[in-house]
Amino acid sequence: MARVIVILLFAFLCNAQDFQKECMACHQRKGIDLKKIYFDYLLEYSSKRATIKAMQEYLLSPDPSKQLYIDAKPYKHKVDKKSLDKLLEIYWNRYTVIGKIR
Amino acid sequence: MDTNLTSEKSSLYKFLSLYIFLTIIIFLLASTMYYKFEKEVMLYSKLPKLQEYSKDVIRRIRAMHNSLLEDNYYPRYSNFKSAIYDADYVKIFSLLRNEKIDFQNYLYKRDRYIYFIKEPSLYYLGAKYVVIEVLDDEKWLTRVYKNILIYGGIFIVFMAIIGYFLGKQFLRPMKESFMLLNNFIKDTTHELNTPVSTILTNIETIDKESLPAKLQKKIERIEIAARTISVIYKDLAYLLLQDKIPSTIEKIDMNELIGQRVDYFKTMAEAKKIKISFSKSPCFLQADKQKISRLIDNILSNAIKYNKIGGTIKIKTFKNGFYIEDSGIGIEQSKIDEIFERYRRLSSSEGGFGIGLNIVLAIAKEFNLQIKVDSKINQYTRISILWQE
Repeated sequence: MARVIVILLFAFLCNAQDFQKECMACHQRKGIDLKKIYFDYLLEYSSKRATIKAMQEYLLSPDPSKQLYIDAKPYKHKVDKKSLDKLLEIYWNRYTVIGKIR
Repeated sequence: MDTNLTSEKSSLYKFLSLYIFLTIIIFLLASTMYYKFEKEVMLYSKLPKLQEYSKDVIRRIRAMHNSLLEDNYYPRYSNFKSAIYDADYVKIFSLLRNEKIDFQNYLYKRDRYIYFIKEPSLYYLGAKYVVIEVLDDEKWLTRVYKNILIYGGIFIVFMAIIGYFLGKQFLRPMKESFMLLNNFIKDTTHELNTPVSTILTNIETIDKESLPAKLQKKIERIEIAARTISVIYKDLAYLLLQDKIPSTIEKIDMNELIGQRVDYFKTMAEAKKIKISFSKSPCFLQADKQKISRLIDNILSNAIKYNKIGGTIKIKTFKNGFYIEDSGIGIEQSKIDEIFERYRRLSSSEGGFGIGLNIVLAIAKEFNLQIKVDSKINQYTRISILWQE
């Protein structure tokens, strides 16, 4: 049991590091605010399920007509679907409003 | 006749019960509809205020959203509570007392709270549903209950009065038929008395011993038939007049009275070759002699009617009662209680209307006499009449 927990924690930390390294660093470099993007999607899609689905579709095949954040050009991210799922989960948990309102 | 008046009353009560039952159903339906209508009126009267409240909340969460949640203080108000839910009904934040929300209704009341659900045009903080909860003072409900009680009560009383008169109208033809039948029976009964008494008086004056045997037999048959009619006449007269004739209480020597009644039925018993044995002990009863005669006559005539040819009838008197036991067809144990019901005839082998034992029961009740029935099929039936000292 402890082994399973350690493996899961390790996997999560690896993914979290990937998010920091791959997503945050790049967005900071390009000056594209991830938090602003999150709130724009939330304003349009409301729930976690709908928001993540919309983000996933856009990131895998960017469609200018579906672009919410207009301050950046459509960009095809070099990431596979499985990794994207994990990164978006980390992204959602990082900026979610649930539990942060007082 | 009392029976007819009772059945008329019973029909009237049945009709009234059904009528009132239906009236109550209508009343309940109308009350429910009225309650629902008033509830809707109350809810819609609150709607402008609730919309105002929801706008306040939306304005505030829009500001929170625009600050990217740097400003994360959710608005609190003294006159209502609120909550926000996402498109999948997941709670984002709530101050509600009851968080079980019915998202299918945008305006409803549960327990003492009114709920209003507003969908903002944009999902600030992801909120697709803004829920407003206000406490209902329920003044409208008190008014509704009061109106239902007052107007409902008036309605039921009004309908009951109408129902009573309607019932009377509907039952009038039945009552008229009863009265017609009643009068017919009264007149017929009255007209029967004179000829039957004449026949019996004349038969008693005939010296039967001097007549040829064949003629003697014929006279006996006439006498039996006349006495049977006389018993029926007396039973009918009792039924018609039982409440109108006051009882004359006297000390009756039961041995003497039973002896007289046995003599009266002697010819009928002899015709069936029935032997009557009478065992006497001192026996007295405080009651109306005429009525006790009816009681004995009915038990005796049944003992003869339902006896076999050549059977026996044992009569015994004792200090607090007497019994009459025949050797006839008997009565099933399960049916013993039924024999006293009016118009109930357990056997159709003999004539009659099934009123005899009902008269016995009525007389026994009037003088606090206890009736005990013991019987064995095809062996005997013993009817005991007992009283307190």
